[in-house]
Amino acid sequence: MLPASSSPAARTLAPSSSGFARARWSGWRLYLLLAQLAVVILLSSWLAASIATAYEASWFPVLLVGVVIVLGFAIIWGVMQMRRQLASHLNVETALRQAATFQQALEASSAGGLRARDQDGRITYVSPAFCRMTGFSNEELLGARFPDIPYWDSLQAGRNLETFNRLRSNNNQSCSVEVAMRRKNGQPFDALIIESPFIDASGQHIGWLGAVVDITEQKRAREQAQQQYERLQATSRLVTMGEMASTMAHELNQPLTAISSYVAGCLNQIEAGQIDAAELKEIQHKIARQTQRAAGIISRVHAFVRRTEPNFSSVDLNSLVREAAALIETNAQRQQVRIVCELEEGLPQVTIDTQMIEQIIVNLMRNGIDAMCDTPLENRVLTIATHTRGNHAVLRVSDRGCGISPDIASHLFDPFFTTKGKGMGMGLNICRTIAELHHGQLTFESNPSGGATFTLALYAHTE
Amino acid sequence: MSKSYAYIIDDDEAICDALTWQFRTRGIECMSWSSAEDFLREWRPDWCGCIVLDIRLKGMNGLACFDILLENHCLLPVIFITSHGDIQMAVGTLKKGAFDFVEKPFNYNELADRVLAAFEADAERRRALTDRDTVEQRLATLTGREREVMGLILEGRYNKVIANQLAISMRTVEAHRSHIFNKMHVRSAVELAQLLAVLKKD
Repeated sequence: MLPASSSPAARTLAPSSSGFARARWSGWRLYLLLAQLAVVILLSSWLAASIATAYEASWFPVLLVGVVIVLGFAIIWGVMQMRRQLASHLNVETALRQAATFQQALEASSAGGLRARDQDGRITYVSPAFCRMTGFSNEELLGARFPDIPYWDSLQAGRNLETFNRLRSNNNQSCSVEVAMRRKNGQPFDALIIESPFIDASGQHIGWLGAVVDITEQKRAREQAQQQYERLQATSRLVTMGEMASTMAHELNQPLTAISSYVAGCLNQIEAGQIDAAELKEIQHKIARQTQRAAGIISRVHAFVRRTEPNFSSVDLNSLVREAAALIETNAQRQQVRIVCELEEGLPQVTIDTQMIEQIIVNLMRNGIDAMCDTPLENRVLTIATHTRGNHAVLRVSDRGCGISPDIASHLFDPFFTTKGKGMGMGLNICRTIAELHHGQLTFESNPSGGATFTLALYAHTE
Repeated sequence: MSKSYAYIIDDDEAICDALTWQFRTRGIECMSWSSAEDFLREWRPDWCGCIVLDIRLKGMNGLACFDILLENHCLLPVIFITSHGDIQMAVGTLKKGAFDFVEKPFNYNELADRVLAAFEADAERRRALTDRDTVEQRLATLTGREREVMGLILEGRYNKVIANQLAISMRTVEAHRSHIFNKMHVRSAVELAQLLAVLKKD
């Protein structure tokens, strides 16, 4: 928005600068004219005096009148020049005033705020729009210095400072950053700042100019769209699974129906005492064929499931945890849960399918966050810890939620078992299947202080 | 009178075979088709017994087949065999006049028992058709106006024509028609004519 506003300003300022030039030029001309006038007066008086002495008094009055007329013309001419001079001065003044009001109007009506600061990070200028956005007055903001900026979110201050330092390091490059800010009334908001170097009229780099836009609404809309998309994905997966299950149920029903009818027929025969061994033998063969048919359907489903072969590679579990934590961050923020990572440095490498294990970590974290929906705000902490235990790398996810009651515990890993309103009951079941695929172990226990801890132990390389 | 059969329509060959075998052990004669189209081509109105119809069929499904049978005044009881997800559909067929529905896989002799019950119902209906006393008893329950309307129905008049002739509204004719069918225990004008033919025989 800076470049956009600069062009009309330039347009208004252009005539005023040429007015300055005209005024200067007229001033020179005035001096020249006054000099000319003086010369003319001197010349004419000298001429009159010399003529008067040469021809006695008879020509004198005529000459005097002539001189007076010449002088009169000179005065009129001088006054006209003065008027022209004054008018050009007035023009310049009007142009200046217009430029000033335009700039004021520009600052007052812009929705985006401007903020300038010097090389030391001291705020040197804030636009009215910026004051409106933050709720602080001009006086409260001017002179404030990093890191004591009143509109910074205290939780985000560290990150903001980092951004500021990064900006200083890639000198003379403008960049845009999204930062969390806080209004004077304590209300948090998200802002986009486009920082560019502030160059003064003499071409010197005197600080930084930031154009600030409140993007809270846009960010919320973006998050909602993301959530919507995730829900849609989950629904479509659910539908696919439901369809598969329904198709499989129908297909299995066919051979089962045939078998049950054959068996019922055989029983009828036996009960009636009309046993024809050859016929019964033939029926038994038919039953066996239907059994094979059912087995075929099941092995087809197995083949379908096995299509997703795991892709093993040797990775650092800690980096995977960090990635998963980043993935779940928005989710955690929404439910005001703080994620604490206690990762042991120098953890041995594990050979895993990164996508699958990440799935486990995200699932466990999401469960933990969901479990704390009724926990008091200050206790909503999800702790993710890694450590080495023998030849295993161990990951622990602890929540401070409602914990797991014994009757729930016995069904925890059952498919389609869920305590969540919208849950499918597949999360933990899938987690355990993945853990087993990695020859790992997924266990859980109740915390003495409330909540639950899930532990994933993965076999690690030992050199 | 022709012999009673269970007419099995299922696109799964194994099920047709298994049912045929099981029914035979209970003394039920069977005929089977793998599609509704094949069955409808061969079906004759004078067949006795009952129809065992799968809801899910390749080509025309069981529900469409049932509708066609109703349109053609088929009087055979129909037992639907359904999968787990089709219960809603099956309940709908009961409202239309299906005899029953049985869910796959069947419980021991459950289906065979239902088939035998359907045979009984079919035989009962046919007996009524040939029993003069029953017909007269039913006729006696009709009101004068209903007899009048019945006469016109048997002449093959449309409701509209009947309404004009008797100077009553279409709705009233429709109400009379349904009362007549209920009292005479029939489902169509054709069946009504068959029923009354018994009286004319002598």
